[in-house]
Amino acid sequence: MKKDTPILPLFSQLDCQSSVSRLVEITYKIALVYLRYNHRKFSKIFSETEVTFEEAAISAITPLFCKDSTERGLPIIKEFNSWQPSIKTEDDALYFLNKIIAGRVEQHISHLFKEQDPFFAKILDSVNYLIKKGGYKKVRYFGKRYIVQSTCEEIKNKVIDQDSFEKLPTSLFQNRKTFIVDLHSYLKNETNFFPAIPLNALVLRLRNLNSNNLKIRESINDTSSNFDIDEVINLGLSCALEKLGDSYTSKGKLNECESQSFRLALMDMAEDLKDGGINRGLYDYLNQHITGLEKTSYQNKYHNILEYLLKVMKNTICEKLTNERF
Amino acid sequence: MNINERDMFNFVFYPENLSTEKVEHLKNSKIFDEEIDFYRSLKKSLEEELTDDVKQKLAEKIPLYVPLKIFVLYPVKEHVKKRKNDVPIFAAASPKEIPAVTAKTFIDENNHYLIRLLSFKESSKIYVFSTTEGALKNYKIVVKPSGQTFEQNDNSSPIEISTPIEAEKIELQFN
Repeated sequence: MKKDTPILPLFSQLDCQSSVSRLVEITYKIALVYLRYNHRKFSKIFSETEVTFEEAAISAITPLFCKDSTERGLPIIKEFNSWQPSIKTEDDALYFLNKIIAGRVEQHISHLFKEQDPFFAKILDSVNYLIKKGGYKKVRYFGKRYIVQSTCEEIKNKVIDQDSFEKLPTSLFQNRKTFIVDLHSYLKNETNFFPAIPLNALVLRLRNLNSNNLKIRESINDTSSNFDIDEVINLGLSCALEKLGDSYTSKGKLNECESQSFRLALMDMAEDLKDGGINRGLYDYLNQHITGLEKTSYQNKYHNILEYLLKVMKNTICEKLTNERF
Repeated sequence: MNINERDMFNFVFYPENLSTEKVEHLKNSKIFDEEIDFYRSLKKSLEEELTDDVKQKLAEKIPLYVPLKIFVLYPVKEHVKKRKNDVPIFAAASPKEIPAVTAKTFIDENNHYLIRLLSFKESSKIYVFSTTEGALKNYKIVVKPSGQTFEQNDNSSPIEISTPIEAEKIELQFN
């Protein structure tokens, strides 16, 4: 192996500044390669939050190097010490880092998805319920979480890729009580892939199908009720517009012309939320309604306001979804 | 053939840990190309140095991280002048000093640091100098490719090692 720094000795020398810094750098490099490799097709979340892969990689690894409230040591050391089978060689150490960071990055991505789209979080909760109830479990493979049968110990063959998953027949996703079983048996019997369903890709696919139908019929929790995406989003939009009027327009912080541009930008965002989530940077939404808006001017004058109003809209949607009984 | 994540990892990083059957299977089959490409990119990335901009961002987010200042010193090509006179000149015998087998000079691209490596038959000495600063303090020397590491508080005396050292390049690291 021609990598430059031996990793195993770093874990026993973390009282030495250079060892900590070295480990942070190695961890960052793994996180970045992982993000570039696994999230090329999920770049939408990066465009919305205007976060670069580099920044996302740093955010993902940061918790591994921050002491917890009890100050009992770094989380990465705790992971290292509790890893099974125990780490004895240089190859074990690199493999451990690779696994632990892939998992950390996926957790971070999942968090970004949930923040970006309240419906994603809701559907994820429901899928998790079905996994538990249906005798399935989640395993990590290259950092991604896959749904497998509870008897499966390890993924031992090629799993379905993003493109192939998106092309699976829509009919497989339509029965809300049996779609995991249906997908499983389809992968097992009709394809050469290992029978493992990628969790995030499944939630996104369900999210997009629901967007197209506009009505979500949730029966997976054994109750049946409908909720209307239009209705929930309109409620969120109304709250954001009300806040815009009360806190900014009437107080003279934004003039009538600016307020109208904000109104239109928020309405565009609401439309995109219905259709799978915010898919551009916030600047782009406002730029469409303010002629010649420069990015520096947007950052200085408008960014914080727009970000806050979007948060109001999303929080209202989340509250509504939490209060709804499905 | 069952191929798991560790097999693909080993295929790229530690093929000697993998059975011949699995190595051959992974070499010939295209099924896992994407996964193997991932590990290949990772291997390449681990060998690259981070930019100062990234180091700065890491330092802003992770208080424990202090960017390392690393200078890579490469051997200087020395041109030994040939003596015009072919008559051999014998050095006086010295009872104490063991004659140096090789002497190699290393310098960084900006000529700020200079390292002199003297390898004797059974030992070595490493001298570290700065061309711009006075005394150097708290640094680490990493000899490549062996990865042997030596730390020093200052450069007032050489690093003395009880074995001969082979170096293609030397890293000088400051915290």
